[in-house]
Parts: sequence; C-alpha cells; structure tokens
Amino acid sequence: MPQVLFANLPLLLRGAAVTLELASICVVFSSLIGIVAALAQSYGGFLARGTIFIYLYLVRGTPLLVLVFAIYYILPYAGINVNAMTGGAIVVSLYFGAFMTEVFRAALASVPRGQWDAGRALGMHGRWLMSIVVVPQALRLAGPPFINTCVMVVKGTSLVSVIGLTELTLTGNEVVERTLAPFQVFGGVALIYFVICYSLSLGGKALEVHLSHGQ
Amino acid sequence: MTFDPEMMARALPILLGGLVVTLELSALAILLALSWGVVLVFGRLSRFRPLRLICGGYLQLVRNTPVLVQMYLFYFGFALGGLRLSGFVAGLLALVLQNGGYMSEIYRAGIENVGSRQREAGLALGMRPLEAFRIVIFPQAVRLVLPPMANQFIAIVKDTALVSTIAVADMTFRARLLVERTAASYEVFADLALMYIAVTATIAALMSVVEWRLKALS
Amino acid sequence: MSSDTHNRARRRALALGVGGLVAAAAIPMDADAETAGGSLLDTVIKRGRLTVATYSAYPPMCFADKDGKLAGFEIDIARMIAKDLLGDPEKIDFQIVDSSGRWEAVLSGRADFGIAATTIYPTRIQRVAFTTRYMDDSNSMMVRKDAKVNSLADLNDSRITVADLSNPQGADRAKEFFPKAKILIFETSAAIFLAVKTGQAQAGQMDTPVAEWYAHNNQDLKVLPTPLGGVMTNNAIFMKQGDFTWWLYLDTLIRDIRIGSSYEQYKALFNKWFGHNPPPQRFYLKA
Repeated sequence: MPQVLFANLPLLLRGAAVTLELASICVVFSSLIGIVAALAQSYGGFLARGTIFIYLYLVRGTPLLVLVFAIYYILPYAGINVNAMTGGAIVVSLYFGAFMTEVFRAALASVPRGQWDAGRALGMHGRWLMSIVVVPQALRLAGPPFINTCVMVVKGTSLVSVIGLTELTLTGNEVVERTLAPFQVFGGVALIYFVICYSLSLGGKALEVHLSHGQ
Repeated sequence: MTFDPEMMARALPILLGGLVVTLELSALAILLALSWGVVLVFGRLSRFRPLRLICGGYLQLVRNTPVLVQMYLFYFGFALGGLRLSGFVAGLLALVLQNGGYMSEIYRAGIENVGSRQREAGLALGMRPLEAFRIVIFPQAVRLVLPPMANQFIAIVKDTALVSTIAVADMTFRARLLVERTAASYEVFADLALMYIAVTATIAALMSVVEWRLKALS
Repeated sequence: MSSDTHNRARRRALALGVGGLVAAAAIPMDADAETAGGSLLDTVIKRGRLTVATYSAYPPMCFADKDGKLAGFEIDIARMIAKDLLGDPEKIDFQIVDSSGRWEAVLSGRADFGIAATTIYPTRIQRVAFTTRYMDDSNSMMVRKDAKVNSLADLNDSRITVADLSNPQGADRAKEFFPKAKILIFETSAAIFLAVKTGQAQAGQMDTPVAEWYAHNNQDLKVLPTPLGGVMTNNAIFMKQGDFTWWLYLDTLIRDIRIGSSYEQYKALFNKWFGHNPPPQRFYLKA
C-alpha cells in the first residue's frame, strides 16, 4: 500500500494546483502571442516578419531549461524583479508562444483557398473577411495541435521547479527528500501529470468532435 | 550591470567542455530512440490486439508525463531500489523512452499517410507484401517523415539540458557553475544559448541536405 | 560604461529573445543601495513587510517541513528580526533561492537580505555585505556506514563517489582532500542527502550542522569526525553593499542576539534545532 504517497497526497495536490495555475496563465499568454505572431507573420510587413522569425529561431533552438535559468537570473539585472511564478510564467509563455505561432500559422494556411475566394466573391475583403470566414475555421483546424501544445505547456511547467516554484515536480522532490520513497512519490507525481494531460487531450478530442458537428 | 563581451569569450572554452557530453548524449539518444521507435511501431501496427493496446498505452504514458520527473525516478528511484544508474544513463533512458515513443508515432504517420492504395498498387504489380513495403511504401514514407524527424532530433538535443539536474556535466551544468563563480549571468547564458542554437541549427541544416538529396534521387 | 558599450549591450539583450521585455526596462547603472530614497531600513519599516532570501532544502537551517512550510534555525532567526523591526514575526516573505541565485536575489533588490547557510569567504565579501556571524560553521563529510570509510584518507579513492554542493569552495576542498574520488555536484544539501541515501554516492560534503542533522535522523549515515581542514567558518546574513544604515542595524541586532540581551532566545532556538547549547556569551563564562 503506498502509504507515503497517500500521507503526502494533500501536499502533492497543492503542488498540482500551482502547476495548473501556472499552466493556465501560460496557455492564455502563449496563445495570445501565437495568434498575434501568426497574423503578423502571414500579413505583416518585413520588420514584423523579421522579428517573428528571429524570435521563433531563438526560442525553438534553445532548451526551455536554459531560458528558465537565463531569464530568472538576467531579468533582475534589467531592473525587473520577479518571483518564481511570474518569471516562470514569462519564460514558459514566451517559449510556447513560438509553438503556438506555428499552430496558428498552419491553421490559417490550411483554411481552403475556396473559403477566401467565396468570401471575396461575396464582397468581403480584409479584416472583415478574415474574422467572419477564415478565423473561425482556422481556430477549428487549430484544435488538435493546440491541445497538444497545451499538454506540452503543462509538462513544461515542471521545469520551473528548478528556480524554486513549488509546483508539482518540486513538491515531489521535497517529499522524496523527506520520505525517501522515490517510487511511490515520483510515481504519484507522474500519475497526477498523466491525469491532467490525458484529460486535457481527451477533452480536446471531444471538443474537436463537437465543433466539427457544427459543419 | 555591464555586459562584458570579453567575458563571453572567456566563458566559451569552459562551456565547450560540456559540449562533448551534450553531443554524446544527443547522438546516443537519437540513435536509440530511432531504433526503439521501430520496435514500438511494429507493436502499434500489429494485428495482435493486446500488443497494439500495450503500445498505445505506453505511448500515452510517455507523452503525458514530464521527462524531468522520469529522470529523477530513474536516477534516485532505481538507485534506492538497488540499480544504480549514472546520471548520464538515467537521462539517456528517459530520453529514449520518451522520444522512441514520439518516433514511432512519426513512423506510423508516415506509413499510414502513404496509404494503403500504394500497397495495393505494389501487390497488384505482383510484389510480395514485404517487397511492396520496401520498394513502394518505405521510400515515400521516409520523405514524409524527415521533417518531423528533424524536429524531434532538435527536441532531443534540447532535452539533454535536463540531465544537468542529475549531476551530469553537460553545457547547461557547466554554465550554472560558472555563473555561480563569476556572477556573469548575461554573458554565460548568452554563450550557452548560442551554443545550443549552433547545434540545433546544424542539425536542421544537415536534415535539409538529406531531404534535398532524397528528393534529387526520386 | 561608455554609451557605445551600453548600446551594444542592449542589442545583445534583445537578441537573447527576451524581446521587448528587456528592451523596455532600462539596465540600471550600479548605484548605492542607500539612495535619495533612504536606507532599506526605512523602506522595510514603511513597507511593513520584510523580504528574505533563503533556501528550502538545508535542514535544520532552512527547509520545507511536511506541510510545505519553511522552517528551520535560520527561518526562526529571520522571524526574530521581523519581530524586532516590524513587531510581528509573521510579517515576512521568504524568497526561495538556490545556491547560484542567492546573490542576485539581494543584489537586484528582490530580497532585503539573505539568510541561507551562507559562509563568509573572501571572494564573496567583494560582492555582498555580510553581518557578523549568527552561528559557527564548518564543513563535514556525511558518509554511509556501509561504505567502510572512517577517515578523510579513506575517501581519497577512485572507487568512492562524493556528492558536493555547487559552490567553488566545496570544489576546492574536494580537490585538496579527496582528489581521486568521483564527484557529483548537486544544488542543495537535500539532493546530496538523497544521492548518498540512494547509493549514488558514498559520501556527501556539506555544512557540519546539516550533516549532523541528517546523521542524527538516519541510522545508516554517520559524520566523519574531523571537519574538513579543521577550519571553522562563519555563517552570516548577506545583503547588497552600500547601505550602511541597513547593515549597521542588522549587524548590531545579530550581535545582540548572539551575545547580548536576546541571548536567551538565541539559546532556546539553538537548542531547538541543534540539540545543544550555543557557545557562551563570553569566552570567560562557562559553556
């Protein structure tokens, strides 16, 4: 019987709450970054596209762990004092913003040409055209990869443990160091992550089915 | 806080020592993940239902748990249970288990996308199933999977940074130690980021060359 | 710092991908902590809360207890300071840092001071200001009883793996006393303990009080008798340099706690966490 795990479950669940809090914040912000960047990439001017390109290149080529350390140690010197939660939120959002950019860019590109032409034939143009015809379809197409990226965000929050945020992974570490039951505790931690992520992806699939019925 | 470009130059050789470890771990993880992925995809596409379910379950398990937690489990957990793995091996194990899973999905997508019609075409031309696979499906599948595989290789390289938390002296580990000694966080992390970007950009370039060559061959 | 270097620095910071965030924030010049705004002493009193940088995995000095709350000798000392300064030992926020992040925490102003099992060493004095010591320290080796290691010399063997902390002083001691051993480096004493307990290492180098605490609570561990080098050191509170009023306040308060009017409270805390009395107030008094 995994007694140690049960005894420490409340503590671990508190860590999971922090994980969920951080992950939610990061999903929101990284999606915002992704949408803005994807639009800028597809329709922006040279400067916008260039900046996005550099951003994507840098973020996708650097490990999240390194960015977590770097930003946490560097921001204070730029005069921005952040705690682990804020610093973690900034880094993880910026990091997955790049992935979200790709998700939304691909979704925008996958909207069938016919939709654009149909919209134009009906006399729409520019932003109005996009918002009514294209974006909703893009959002629907973006569904599965978006949910995948959300799962990645949840897993990514485990790295913020290294700068001291007492989310699920760090809480698990602390419990293991105190109780010396790594199998039970890390197993429990993995299980909690699994429940969170798998539910997320199941929910995503359900949402996808529901949305496609509207067509 | 001043930014000292000279410090960046001085930090570089120290970080380069960790580059060897990073490259070693990346190369091993890539090779083993490629192989493990092949094994998994056979299970995933098997006609034997329990095997399909087990592989499917395994895949769900690895994609829904963070690699960091797996590394801690393999390093500290196994040691307490009597199996003492070094940080390098524990990290490698976690990387292979995770990325082997992702590789098998990439293979599966490639194989399935090429489609059963191609297979039927091959069979209609009188080939045996295995031949059809080798001559018709495989080349097309390879071209399809190269881009996601390139992405996965880059993800593997980036994930090797995690072993710095279980006392493996890779680039990230050395960078942290250096920052502790010198407080030059800007310079050291700039170096570190540049080095990772150099490695991942090289891989991306190499894979592009491979893709281009394959296209030329067809 | 010339404006040319400054401009190059700003462009490089952008290139790190932090983007507009860093560009928007000016990189401040080094300034005296005691600025026109006054000393941290006034700032903290006005703010009504004290922010302290500390570790969370160094029992019994600063660690997270089974409810996840920070506890330990150093935590209690910090609370004593909060009580004196602000009237309430709970008016304190702890910023958990790690070994390499502790300096940034106080240098950047994120924490008012740090109390984190931190020993005074010459190179550190160049970067931060220390008060007088609040406790003695030294370094010891915590070893597994089944490793058959009874002296420092036994550790100097290529078959032995030692877990060390990441600070440079620990690395120097390792080179001096057991150069042949394999070294694993971790960020916290708790991680070192886990490494030794799981058998990844046969010994761990850590602060003596921490080693003794772990050995006291684990039958399969013991502490080698000689502190490393036989050298005693000082653990002290650290803060940003330049704020004389703040330093003077903390330094005088610590002296009062350790050898002055608050000695009885100090003695009680010391016994609570270390199980024995602290040194007497005066060398000419009995222990």
